[in-house]
Amino acid sequence: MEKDSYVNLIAQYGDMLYRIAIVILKNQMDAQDAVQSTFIKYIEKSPRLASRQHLKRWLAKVCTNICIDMLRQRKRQADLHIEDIGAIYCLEESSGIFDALIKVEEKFRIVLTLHYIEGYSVDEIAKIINRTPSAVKMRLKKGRRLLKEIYEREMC
Amino acid sequence: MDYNLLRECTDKIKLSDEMKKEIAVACAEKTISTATENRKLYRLKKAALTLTVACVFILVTLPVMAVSSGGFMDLLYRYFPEIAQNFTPVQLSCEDNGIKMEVVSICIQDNKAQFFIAVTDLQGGRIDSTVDLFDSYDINTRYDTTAHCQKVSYDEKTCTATFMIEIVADNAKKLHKEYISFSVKQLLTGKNTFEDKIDINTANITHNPPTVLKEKRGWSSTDERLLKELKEQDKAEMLMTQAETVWPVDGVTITAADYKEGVGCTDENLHIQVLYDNIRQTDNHGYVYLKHPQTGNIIMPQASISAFAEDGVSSYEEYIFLDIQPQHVPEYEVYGWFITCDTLITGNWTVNFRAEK
Repeated sequence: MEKDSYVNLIAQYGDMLYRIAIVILKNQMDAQDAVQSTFIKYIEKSPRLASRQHLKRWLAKVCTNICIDMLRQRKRQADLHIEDIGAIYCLEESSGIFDALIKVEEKFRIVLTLHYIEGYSVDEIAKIINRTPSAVKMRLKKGRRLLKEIYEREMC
Repeated sequence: MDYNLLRECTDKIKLSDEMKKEIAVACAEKTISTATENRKLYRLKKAALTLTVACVFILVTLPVMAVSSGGFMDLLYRYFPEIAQNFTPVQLSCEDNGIKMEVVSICIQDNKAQFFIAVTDLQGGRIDSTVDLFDSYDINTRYDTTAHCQKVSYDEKTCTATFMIEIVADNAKKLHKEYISFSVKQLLTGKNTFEDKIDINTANITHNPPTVLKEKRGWSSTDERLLKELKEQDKAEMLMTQAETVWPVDGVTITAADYKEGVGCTDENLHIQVLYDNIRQTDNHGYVYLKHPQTGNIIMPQASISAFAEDGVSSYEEYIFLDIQPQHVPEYEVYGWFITCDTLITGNWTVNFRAEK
C-alpha cells in the first residue's frame, strides 16, 4: 500500500483514534496525547501494511495499547466529568447510553467501544487487544450486560 | 437495548482543528528528526525541521489565504522570516496549455535542495485543491538523486497550487551551482471521494457464474499462502460482466457479483468485480466491503486480482471475500470506497535553473 503523509492520516483516522482514546481515558488531554503518540509510533515503525483496512486496524491497536499503558501509569489525576464530555461534544441525544458506557469497567469498555462505535468484528478486536476471539466474545457479552445494568440503574 | 446508539452519540467526538495542528507539527518534528538521524545530516536538522513545521503550519492553518506565485514565500516571510531567508529567489517559469509553472525559490544545503514550484491555471477553472503532479515530474542533474514532492498550498483566487520538491544527491555530491532541469508532463485534478452503500441485492447473488481467463495485471492478498498461489499464476479465471451492472459513481462500474470456487480454497466465496475506467488518465481506484446494517460489523476482501479490460486502459479489479460463508452474505450490505478523477491536463513544462545559495 502506498504510504500516506501524516497530514492525510490525521485527517482520515484522527477522529476514530480520538473516540477510542477518549472513551478509554475519559480525559481530553490524555486522549490527544494518545492519538499523537500513535502517529509518532507510525512514523518510527513505518510499518508495511497490505491495505487501508490493515492500516486502520494497526493504528487502532497501537492507540488502544497506548491508552492502556497510560491508564496504568496515569499522570493526570482528574478525569473529565461525564457531564463535561457530554457538554463539550453536545452529546444530548442518546447520551444516557454513553454516560453508562464510560462507567463500564475498562476491559469491557474497550471491546464495546471497538465493536459498537468503531465497527470492528470479534476477530479484528482479538487481533487488536491480543486475546482469543472467544475471550472477546465473552467480554462483549459481559460488557453488554454491565452496560445494560448501569444504563437501567441511571435511567431509574 | 439498542447498542448501535453508541455510534450515533459518539459521532460528534472529534479532534479539534487546533489539536490536529498540534499533532501534525509533532509528526513533522518526528519525521525530520528521524530522517536527519538516518542521514547523519546534523547540520541541516534545525533548518529542515523548521521548514517542514512551517509548511505544515501554512498547509493546516492558512489554506484560504492568498498564496499565488510568490505568495507562499510571502507567507513564509511573514510567519517564519528566519526560514524564508534561507531561500534564494529563482522566479523562472514556462507556459504550456494555459498553465504556468514557476520555480519560485530554492534552498541548498550540501547534497540536499528544496525548492518551491507554483503551478497556475492562467485560464482558470481547470484545476482545484486536489491537483497533483501524477508522478509525472522529472528532475535532471549531473548526479543521481532521490526526490520527494509535497503539495503545500492551493489558492482558489489565483488557481495556483504550490509544491515543495526535495532532492538529495547520492554520494554526498554537493548541489551548489549545479544546473537542475525540472519538468512536469501531467496534472491530475478534480478528484472526488465516494463512500456509500452500493445497490447490490446480497440475497440474489448467483452461483457458478460464467468466467473468462484473463492475464493478471496485479494481485494482492492479506493471506501469505494465497499471495504465493496468486504469484505463481500468470492468468486468472475472472467473472464475466453481468447483464445488469451498477454505477455507484462516474468512472466506476460494478460489473459482477457472484459466488465462485477457487483462489485459495475449493469452497465458494463471494467475488465482486469492479471496472475502473481509463486508469492511465484518471487514477480511479478504491475497494468494496461488506457491512452489517444492524451491528455495523465490517468485512473486508482478503484478496483482489486485477486485469486490463478489452480497451487496454480500463481495469477490472475482482475482490474476493474469504472470511464469510455464502449463507451469511445476505445479512450484509455492499459498500464501496472510491476515488475518482475527472481531469487530466497534459503539457510540457520544463524549467532549467541553477542551484545557487
